[in-house]
Amino acid sequence: MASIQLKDVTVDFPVYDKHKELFIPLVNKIVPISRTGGGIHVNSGGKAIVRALAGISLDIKDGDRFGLVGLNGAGKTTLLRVLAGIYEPSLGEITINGKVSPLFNISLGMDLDDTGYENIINVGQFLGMGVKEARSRIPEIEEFTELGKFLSLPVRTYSSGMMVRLSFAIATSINPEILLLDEGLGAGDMVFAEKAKKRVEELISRTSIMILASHSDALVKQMCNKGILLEKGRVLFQGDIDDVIKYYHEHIDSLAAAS
Amino acid sequence: MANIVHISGNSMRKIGKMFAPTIITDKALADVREVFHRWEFWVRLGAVEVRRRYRRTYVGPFWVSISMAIFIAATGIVYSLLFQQEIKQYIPFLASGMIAWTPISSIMTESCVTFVSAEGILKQIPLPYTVLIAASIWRNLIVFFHNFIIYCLVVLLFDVPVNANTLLIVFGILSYAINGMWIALLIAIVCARYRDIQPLLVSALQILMFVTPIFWPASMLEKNLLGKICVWVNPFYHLTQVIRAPLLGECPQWFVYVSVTLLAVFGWLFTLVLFSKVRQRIIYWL
Repeated sequence: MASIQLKDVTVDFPVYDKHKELFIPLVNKIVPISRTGGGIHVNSGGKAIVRALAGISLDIKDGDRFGLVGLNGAGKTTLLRVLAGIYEPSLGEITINGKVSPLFNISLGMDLDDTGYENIINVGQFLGMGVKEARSRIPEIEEFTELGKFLSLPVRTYSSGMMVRLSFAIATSINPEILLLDEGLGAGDMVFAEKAKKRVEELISRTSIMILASHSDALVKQMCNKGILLEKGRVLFQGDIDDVIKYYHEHIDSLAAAS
Repeated sequence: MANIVHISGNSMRKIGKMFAPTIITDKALADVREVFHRWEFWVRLGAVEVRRRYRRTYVGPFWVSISMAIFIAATGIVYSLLFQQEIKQYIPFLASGMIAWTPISSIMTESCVTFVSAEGILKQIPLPYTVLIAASIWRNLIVFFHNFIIYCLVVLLFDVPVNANTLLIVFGILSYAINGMWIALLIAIVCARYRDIQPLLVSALQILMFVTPIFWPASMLEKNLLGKICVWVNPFYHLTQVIRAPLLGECPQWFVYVSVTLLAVFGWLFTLVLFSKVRQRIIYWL
């Protein structure tokens, strides 16, 4: 059974710049500096930091499909990266039970001068597959992409749509327990989009937990059952996805009215 | 099948006291262990990078060998006159030195950007840092093997003995891998945080090449104290000697092996302590 627990997770980004002293006067202003983004603070060591996540606690169970919503700079991508194990929290604890597969950039490892077949292995390895495992996906990817003989040619000769087909097919051939998505997965032309939609649904049905960060209400409503609204690195609202989206819109309207 | 990951960030506040007594953490060791688990990944990544660099060229990585051969021929003639040495002896000496030195120097220069240039990868997927380091070492070993063509030429043209001592090169390659790994990891970590180190290191390496007995035989400076320091205390002399001596059909002196082993042990210990301390911060430096 896959599960994820976050307890008071805080992520601070240090400001490494020779002009960092310029940031200090911005600290702890009563008036917020910006509507988006985390707060600028000074840590105990006297260094300027940007707090991207501030005390996030979450309990995610098997079968949950979470949609992460919020304005730009709310901390959606940072939270996904924390869940992927890319950023380790500055404070707090995180316990992940299960194999995590982040699909943030599905063409990672793609080499334009390698053939389609070689790239199945290149990209597959970056997605956490072994060479053998990636090879075993070849027949299925051949069938799905309908690229035929093109798979033996360097990817450089592909149209951008063909490239999308290939990387999409490789990415959706994985078997994750915990799937992390940032803005869904790109599809391609209209005929392909229908096939792609089905394939994404199959992928998600294979996974125990899915977390999707997106600005598209339609996408999160379609793919998720629960939601989290982030604002300035904090959880503002949590619950059923429809309630979260509703709260989110009311919140934005009230912010607009206030200013 | 389920793998449980537990991450706690509470110890991160203590960073900064770099020289306080510390321990090597399990997380750091687990990162290093991944080098053995994910060998398929770094073998492929290293080879892909070599291919990418020389794509569509006709001679590929042999370009390094060609420029090295030209350098050896030109410098060899001038220096043999300068040092009043037989060309027949000096060229093999210089060639073996250059073949041994080049991987060390390029591992050190390239390691400055190992993490910095992999930012795009490291922020998209969780990847153990040492796996990236292993790929860079492997890439340099591939280029090193290409340079063997120079060795073959030198053996054919000049009177270089090929004997049982030549086989000792295996230990030299082992030293490249083991010492290369910690040196590359250390430099990659430091350069990710302090971006001034890279230009500093590049100019330091140029000086090191002349200070280390590569162009001149170590025996030339044995009577002089400063010269002795350049040779015996200089770790780069020992690191090159484990490759160079076997290439010349000679057995490296025993203390060369002792120094290289000590270097590996203490180098790894130091790097692991540092890595344990800063591992979770590296991603924030990129």
